[in-house]
Amino acid sequence: MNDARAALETTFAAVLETQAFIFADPAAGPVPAPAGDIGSATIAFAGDVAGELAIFAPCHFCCAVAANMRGLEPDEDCAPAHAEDALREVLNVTCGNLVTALAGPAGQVNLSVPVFRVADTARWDACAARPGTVAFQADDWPVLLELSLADR
Amino acid sequence: MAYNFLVVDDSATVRAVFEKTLRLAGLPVGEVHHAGDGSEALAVLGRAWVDLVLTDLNMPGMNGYELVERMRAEGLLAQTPVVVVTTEGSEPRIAALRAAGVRAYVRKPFTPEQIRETVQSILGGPA
Repeated sequence: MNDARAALETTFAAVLETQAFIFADPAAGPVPAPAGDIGSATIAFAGDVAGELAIFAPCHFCCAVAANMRGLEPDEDCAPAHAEDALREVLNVTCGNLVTALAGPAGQVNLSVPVFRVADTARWDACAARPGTVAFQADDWPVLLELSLADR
Repeated sequence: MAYNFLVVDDSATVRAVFEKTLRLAGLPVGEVHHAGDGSEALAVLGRAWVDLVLTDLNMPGMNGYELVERMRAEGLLAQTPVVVVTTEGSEPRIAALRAAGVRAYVRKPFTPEQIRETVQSILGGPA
């Protein structure tokens, strides 16, 4: 699991930087739930590696990702659909690159379509407390990623 | 002559990035059609002239693999170049896509430069 955790840290940071020009580092300590709305997305994968990857992030972060990807000013109006779409896409790309790193280039893994859900403080706190969760500081925003690998 | 494109991805954000990149690529760009999955893509291809398709693989409904297969099975559409842009990193699957006639493959996350260079390599340099 340590290798998977390290791969997740590297992959998420690289995806976010390339895709949205946002720099993410593993958080130094506990990450309390952010104020305001929280978005979450999950994606499942099956094949040579199997499991699920989830992301929790403040909606302001989702808006920033959407704006940066689209080349818009961050303070332009953010449509909820764009924010949800951006979070799903960041998760999708992170997961695709992560499972390739875990399964190797010869491995074959099928990804599900990411699903977005509105989250809340309680769900954030529960995710933050689970051992498979990695907390990031992504520019000004806290972000959680939780990796669950199926036993093989 | 301006080139017409079809961008296929279930993410509207990614489709917007594709279109912006194409319009800044220095190519003569005409229409950029959007489709959210393979079925919508085939509908566009049935009514519009498209010079190059950029498609994701992992989509709800008809995915990118089936879109490529369906295009290869249809006379004129079989000649339309397809570029796959996806998170897929499996070498056997990439080889299978190449064997199915996919002209190029770009891995997500991509930079606008990667898309521009790939498209220019297929359609030719800037006008």
